[in-house]
Amino acid sequence: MAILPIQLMNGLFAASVLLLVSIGMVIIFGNMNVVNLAHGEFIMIGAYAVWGLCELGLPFPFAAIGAFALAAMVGALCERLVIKRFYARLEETLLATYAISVILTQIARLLFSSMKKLVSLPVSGGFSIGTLVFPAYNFVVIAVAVFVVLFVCALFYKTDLGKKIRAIRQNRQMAQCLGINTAVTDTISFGLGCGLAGLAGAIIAPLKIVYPAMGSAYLMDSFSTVVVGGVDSFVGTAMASGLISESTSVLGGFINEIHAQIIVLIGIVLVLRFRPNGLFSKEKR
Amino acid sequence: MKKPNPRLKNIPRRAAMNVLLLTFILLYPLTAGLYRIDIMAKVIPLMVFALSVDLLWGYTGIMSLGQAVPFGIGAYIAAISNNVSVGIPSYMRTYGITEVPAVFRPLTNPYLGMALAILIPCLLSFVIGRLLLTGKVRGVFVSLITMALSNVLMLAVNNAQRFTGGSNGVNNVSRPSLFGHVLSITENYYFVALIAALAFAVCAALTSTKLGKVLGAIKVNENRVAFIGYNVTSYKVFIYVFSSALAAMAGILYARTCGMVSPSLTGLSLSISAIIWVAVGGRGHLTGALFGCLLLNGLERIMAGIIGDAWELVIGVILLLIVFCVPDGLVGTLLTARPKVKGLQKKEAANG
Amino acid sequence: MADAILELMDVTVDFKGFLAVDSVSLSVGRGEVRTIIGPNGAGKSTLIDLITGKTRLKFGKIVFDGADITLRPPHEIAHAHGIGRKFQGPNTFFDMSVFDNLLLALRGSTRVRKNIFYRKTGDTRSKINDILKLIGLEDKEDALVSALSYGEKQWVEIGMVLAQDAKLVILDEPTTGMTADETYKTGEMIRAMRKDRTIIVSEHDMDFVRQVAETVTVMNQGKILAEGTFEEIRQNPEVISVYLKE
Repeated sequence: MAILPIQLMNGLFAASVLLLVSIGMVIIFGNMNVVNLAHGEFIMIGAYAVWGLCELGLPFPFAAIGAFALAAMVGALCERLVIKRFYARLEETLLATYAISVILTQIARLLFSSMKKLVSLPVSGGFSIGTLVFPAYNFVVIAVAVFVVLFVCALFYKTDLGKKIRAIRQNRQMAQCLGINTAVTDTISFGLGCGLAGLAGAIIAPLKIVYPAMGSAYLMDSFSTVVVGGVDSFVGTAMASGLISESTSVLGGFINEIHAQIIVLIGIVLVLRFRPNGLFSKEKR
Repeated sequence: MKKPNPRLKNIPRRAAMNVLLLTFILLYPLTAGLYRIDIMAKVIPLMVFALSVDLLWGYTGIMSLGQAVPFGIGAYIAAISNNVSVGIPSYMRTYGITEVPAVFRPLTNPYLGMALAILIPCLLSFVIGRLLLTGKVRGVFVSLITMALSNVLMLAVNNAQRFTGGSNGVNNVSRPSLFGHVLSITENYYFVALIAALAFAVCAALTSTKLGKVLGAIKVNENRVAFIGYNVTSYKVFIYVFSSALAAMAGILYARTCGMVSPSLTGLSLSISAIIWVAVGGRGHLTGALFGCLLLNGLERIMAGIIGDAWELVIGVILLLIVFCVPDGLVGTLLTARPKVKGLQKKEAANG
Repeated sequence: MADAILELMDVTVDFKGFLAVDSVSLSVGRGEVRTIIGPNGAGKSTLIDLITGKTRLKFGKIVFDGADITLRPPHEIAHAHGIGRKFQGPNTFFDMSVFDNLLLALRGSTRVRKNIFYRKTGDTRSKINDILKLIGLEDKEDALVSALSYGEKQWVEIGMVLAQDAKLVILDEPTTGMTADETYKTGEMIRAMRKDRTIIVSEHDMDFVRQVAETVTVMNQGKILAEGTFEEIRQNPEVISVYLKE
């Protein structure tokens, strides 16, 4: 009886992590149609940034903001130098972003060696619900995830910038004709996507080990989540994170955890095949 | 004014490059010690793998990020078959397995094992291809789905330790044997090179048929092909299965030459590496794939000894340079010096 | 009509509530040259997509040469049933030679195995020569299509449709982007390709319609507005009002 609430709670926490690592991809893959194979490396940049800034004595929240800023800047730089030349060209984008991912990983390796870094938990202790104890930081993660989704939704649907990004997505040429500076908007939205990945890296850094190749583990996860959520929908992605994490977590409570992952991944493949517009979005023409 | 077709002028240049490559491979053992010969014998199967990627991506335009799936399955089946044909592998014994598991019993016959190492990946690819290559799935999603499948396989291989040796892989795989005689390092080198040459010949013949033209047509304008009456899906599935067979064969050769297999042979990074070899060499020429594979693997083995990990940085930079400056690849650029009408083509492609 | 080769029976295409083709019934006789005209968005292209299997209909039935082709896949409609189609704007294999474009389209087996062991014969050669002559590109068979002029690309695609040896040829605005001279030549090609074929042309250019048309069908807002000879249509008050409004 007691096992299910634990699984559900862990699932909620895992969903928040998944949501955080995927939300940047909603912008970059969903709205800009760029398949960014370096997504995981921006998570890695965020994780290293938060580690470095904490080592320098900065409090964790500020370090996390710094991580966001650093990843956003690196992302914007990549967009300016590389990505912008390959819009709407899938194969070149894949190759170029893979090159970026290799380069970023190697730079991290040269700067910090392959040694694993640890970031201490910014909040310790835990909450107990009944007889169960959950680490306090888990709730921080959940809160940050909720905040980020609200923030991005507000940005996209309430501000001028959001309107511009959506306008470009729907009709680039028309947007240009209407006087939107598409080049700047592209750089900002790509930077924003990378920045959010960096923030995710910062938030998960205390939970995991920080090392140069840590990002690659999140690439498939974030693609899966975004696609199941309907590619360009923040709410859909939130729901997809929940669905994927909860099902992995609950299944994992009954069978081998790897088997659970395999089953969920196969489910995702089926979604990709039969509902490429995601489970939660309205059917498009 | 009559404009000659640049493709026709290429043929002597391409033949010259092929002869050059072949001469290099034939003469290499004369210049190197056994250690280096063995290293090169491990690269040649990867060249066959690169051919399979080129058929699929370079000729037909299907960018699979899971080509390591047939390669890895082929390699694993070959390795396990080699192990169980002489007894119970040590990794199985550590899990208390005292007789060959029922699923592996057919593999105790080395010939049947070899056949299954090619047939099973083909069968799998046939099923995946039928589901995936129907034209209802956009290009990006084909790449993503194949990537996910390769993740599934890697998870499964890592997890099924009793059967696959988990992250340690399968070891103690012997080199190929002919007529009861296990090949020496040099003999194996020429054996692998012979099979690679045959594979190349078959690929070259296949791509020069009308089927090759249909595939090229699918690559540039898939939609139009259907409206002149070709069933695009069956062509795509055919080449997908064919290239899987090739990849599986490369996997078998690789496993038998290296003497071991590990889960990384099924993963994304091998698939992407092969795509990079083909991109660097130039897609859609076969020769480009061979050359790119040889060049990058050769460089890797030389450079990694000198600058260590930083080699990967070099790879990243090379790849960026290729994408920016020589999008047709090194060999591709050498072979096709065609007039600059790129912009126009792009527009048409977008309209089509 | 006793000898109709193509019959659309009450077909409707529904794009999420927007009826691009709204219960249209149409009958085209064997050997006829039928022109479909209508303002932009009248449903001409959708109708063509429907016949060739690109778009799926919601209601209705399509019968071609005695066979029900409703909801069949495009390659089957093209090959097994013999309906060839030229798209709006040149739609060819631009990085292949003119010859290869025609060779791919040439009627023959479309099976995978047959095309591995395919050999060119003298017959192939002469068929392609005939087509090259008809589309006026005899001396450009080795040129890449991407190196041709816009009008020539259109002709290559017309050549491809001819090579298919289809019973019904559908041309979707074949003269778009052509000079007056090229348009006239295209009209002559269409007359020459008639012989035993049925042809449907969707078109904007009225001079061109006058040149090729026997029967004209006018579409507006997804429905058929009128049908008749060019002269009848030209004097039809409803048609005039639709065109003047535009």
